[in-house]
Amino acid sequence: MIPWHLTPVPLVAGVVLLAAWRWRARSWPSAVALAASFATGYAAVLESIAWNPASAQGWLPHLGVMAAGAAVLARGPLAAHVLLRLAVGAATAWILLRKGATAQWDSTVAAIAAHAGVAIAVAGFWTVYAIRSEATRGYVLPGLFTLSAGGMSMVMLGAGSASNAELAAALSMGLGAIAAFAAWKREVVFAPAGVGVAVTLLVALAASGHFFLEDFPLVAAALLLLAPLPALLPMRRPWLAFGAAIVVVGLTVAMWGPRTTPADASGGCGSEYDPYAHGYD
Amino acid sequence: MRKNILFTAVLTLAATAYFATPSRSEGKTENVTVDGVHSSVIFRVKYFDASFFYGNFLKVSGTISTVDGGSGKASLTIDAGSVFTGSQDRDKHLRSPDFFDAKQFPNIEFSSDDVKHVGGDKYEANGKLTMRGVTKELTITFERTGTGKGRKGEARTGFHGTFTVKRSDFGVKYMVGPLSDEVVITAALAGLVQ
Repeated sequence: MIPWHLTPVPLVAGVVLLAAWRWRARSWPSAVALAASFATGYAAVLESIAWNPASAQGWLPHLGVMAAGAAVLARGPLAAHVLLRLAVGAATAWILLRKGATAQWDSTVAAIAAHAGVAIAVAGFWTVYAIRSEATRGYVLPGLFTLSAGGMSMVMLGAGSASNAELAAALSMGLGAIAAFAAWKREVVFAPAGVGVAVTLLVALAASGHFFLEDFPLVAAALLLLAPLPALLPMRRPWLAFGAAIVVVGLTVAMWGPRTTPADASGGCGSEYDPYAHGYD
Repeated sequence: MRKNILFTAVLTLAATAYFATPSRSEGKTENVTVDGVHSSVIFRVKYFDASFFYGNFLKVSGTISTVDGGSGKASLTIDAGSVFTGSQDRDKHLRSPDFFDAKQFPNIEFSSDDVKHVGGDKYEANGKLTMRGVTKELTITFERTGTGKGRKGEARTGFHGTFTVKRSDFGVKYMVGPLSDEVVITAALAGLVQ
């Protein structure tokens, strides 16, 4: 199964990065490349992007653009950045959860906790991964986020949503393209702008998975979001960070990723159900 | 004298038969509560443009009121999470945002304030179908399949209707192609006459 329909995703990211490189831009291109490539992937998976979608999933490309805009325009001291990130997180929570709240939570406290959790996760992970942005090598952080998004794709598939799995795969492919470009041009800066888009989209996908799918536990989301953390440790060998991330993501996928269905769980229909049976290759 | 007795008896029988039969006289309202346990709502999609695939919903509820010569009402609620196709993995996939998005949009609803008797056993309901947060106008033609008495003597009736929707109109765009955009829905409703 080769998702040929997602091949424009890394191409779009590469074109944006190349164009920005020629204009000598260094700080914002990764954010714009990631938001644009994810929107391209979304359109490839779900045919189009609606201006005012009814479902939470429909808002994912908008959230990427919003995060990119906020990341590019952010100015001032750290406190101002954190406040802006909290605002992006709060907007993400409201946009994603407003239609699921009444159906899922039996108390206002639970609804507020869910919204606050998403907002704090966006602002928190964005701030943490941006702390040593200048100290990490160009490709390490986007490379580790590529692994996280790839793991997210597999957990989404295990949770029963092939479309969310493809969207996480599109995010992973965009991040992979940025990592490859940053390996080539070491001056490319992924944080804080690119990190903002990556974190916002990863948290949004995780929230969609946890609240709107059946088998996407919070601990899986937390492990995938924490997997890039070794990039922040002062280490001379990046492969150690990659090794640690591979272990964390691998364990998460092994625990909550797709698994083959026992024959007796197929409801007696005689064959296993494969959401990808429509085939892409 | 004999003739008079015979005439009176025939008249009495005729009158009894007339009043005992459920009347559909002008303006009579009949309220029916859908018996979800004995009703079926099934859907059909085309798989790879080659074969038909059927699935159903296990939980359905609603009310239908018909007014002879007037405009009745209908309200039908389908529990999107009750989709059943005989495969646990496929049912989980159908409940996901790829299709019914059942956690975010738990119900599929049809409501109509314009249910008309169009002749014979045929009815027409002009109303709105809401699925995944999208509402579209829809006309459903259906028929009364019969009337009868249940085990406890309760009055029962049934309705049957088939209609077609384009799932992409309701934002269900995933896998359009391998699975047809057009979905044929058949509702076979058992009802308790109130």
